[in-house]
Amino acid sequence: MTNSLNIEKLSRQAETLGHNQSSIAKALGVSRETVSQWFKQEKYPRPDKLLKLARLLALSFSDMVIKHPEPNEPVVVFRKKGAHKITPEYVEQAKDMGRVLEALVPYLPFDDLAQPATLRKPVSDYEYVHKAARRIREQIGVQEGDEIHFEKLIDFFGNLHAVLIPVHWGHKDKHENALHIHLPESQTTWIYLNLDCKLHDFKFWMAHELGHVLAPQLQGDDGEDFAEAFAGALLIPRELAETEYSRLSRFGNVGAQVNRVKDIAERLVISPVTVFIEINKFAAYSKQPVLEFDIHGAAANFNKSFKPVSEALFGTKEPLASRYVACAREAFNSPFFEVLKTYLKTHRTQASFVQSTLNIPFIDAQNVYEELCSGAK
Amino acid sequence: MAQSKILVDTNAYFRLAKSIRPLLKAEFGEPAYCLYVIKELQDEYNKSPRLRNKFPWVNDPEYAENRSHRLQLSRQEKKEIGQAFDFIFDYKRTEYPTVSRVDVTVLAHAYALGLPVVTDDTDMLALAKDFEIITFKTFDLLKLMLECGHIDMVKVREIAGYLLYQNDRSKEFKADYKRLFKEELPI
Repeated sequence: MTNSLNIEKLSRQAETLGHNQSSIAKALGVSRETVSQWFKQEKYPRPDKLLKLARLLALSFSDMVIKHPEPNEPVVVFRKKGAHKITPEYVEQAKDMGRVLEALVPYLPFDDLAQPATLRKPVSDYEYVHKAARRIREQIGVQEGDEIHFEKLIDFFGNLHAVLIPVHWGHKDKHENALHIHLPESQTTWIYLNLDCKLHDFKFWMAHELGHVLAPQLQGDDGEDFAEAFAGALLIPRELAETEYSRLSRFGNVGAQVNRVKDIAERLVISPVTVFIEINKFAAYSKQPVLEFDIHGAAANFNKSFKPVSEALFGTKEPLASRYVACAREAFNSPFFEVLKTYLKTHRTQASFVQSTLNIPFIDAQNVYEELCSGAK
Repeated sequence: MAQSKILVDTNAYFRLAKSIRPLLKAEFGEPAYCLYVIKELQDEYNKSPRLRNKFPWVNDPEYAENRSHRLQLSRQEKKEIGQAFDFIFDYKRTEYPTVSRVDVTVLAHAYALGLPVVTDDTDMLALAKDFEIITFKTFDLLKLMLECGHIDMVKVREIAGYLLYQNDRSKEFKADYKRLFKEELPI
């Protein structure tokens, strides 16, 4: 964003309060020439003078400053969950994190001559999404109906110049379990994955993020719709949905249907709700009646049996910084902390850089900082 | 005598509150210096299980009571703090992106109320300077307390030793200590 003064409001308020350019200059301790340049939009005030001007004229930031978006602003994407509203502050904070990440781009180990292969014209219709998902399953080497293991998904991100950043953001219910930031200028993508979310959710989040990385040209709702559809299709291929739809339709009672859905979910390490939704998407696509039993109650109990990813990885919710940093490299094949370490050492930056990059409390940032700058020689 | 208020940022509070008791509320020297934290410190602490884990003493009655001694803000002052926040926050987004929201809130209080701030964060110090906000580093504050007879050199060494042990060293930690206290850091 670049800023300019809202001259119209400024002039009107100055006049109302009986100020002219000379009296403003005197009150702010600057020359009349400087104030004249501000009013002619030839110069933008220094931050302290800008705030003094606002105080003098009793104007708020939004009254006094017009913000202009820049072409290469970080693009942030959240997974929508229910009707939960994402606040503008949250979006702005994520963009700020993107601006901080820009500093790390020169240290990435990616080939800057080649462009990763993404989907040419992604759309969200059932047929296309399943075709794309099938291609990815083939590349991963997973059979129809089999579970996609985490490590297979993880390898894919690196091939697409996407940097995975595992983080401890605590238990979150809504959109905060993953954050996707695309930096248009460097064509890099940074994906924060919350290790404190439950294992079965985590896989869906990862598949969802992979959908975004494969379709970078889709933004806003289009991007979200595609990523959500892609994740479902990747985890539950059409053939599996078709087979299970026939089987479930033949069951005589709801209990057996619910148990069957839970069995599939357990085998694939995903939520029964995802299984149910994907089977019904197949039903709708093939113009057959959708299954109408309620899975949510059973799913809630089922999901409780899963541990958070952090516990599965470390055996504790609060691992030492050394284990956390090592895990990013070993379990997520992510160059992130190596890149961060190089940056910190090159620029002799403080722990606050780690804090704002990872959006974690200062004390955690301090521990990571120590691990990167002192511990791991 | 009118108080000369000084704001302490979150990290400086965590560094000092257990060693200098009570850290807040107690006046020292002339003109009656008195330290304050902003109420958002409590929100930050409550939101973070890790902060609670690392500093479990923060909500002990002694410290909670001490923090309850807050800045009394008029409606006009709150409005001016809000105004200052918006300007400082927008500026920091491009110039000092690593400065957190809570840190900007501290600086906005300092700006609007004309108070100095204790912080050791390099970017926060630079951001404060751009808005002509007076700052002290933790060692500057300890020096002030020492000169006022509020603490002695034993306490200064104890705190410096604790920070060294915790590896909680700000930029120029060693040089600042030597410059201000005319001795080498305690090992």
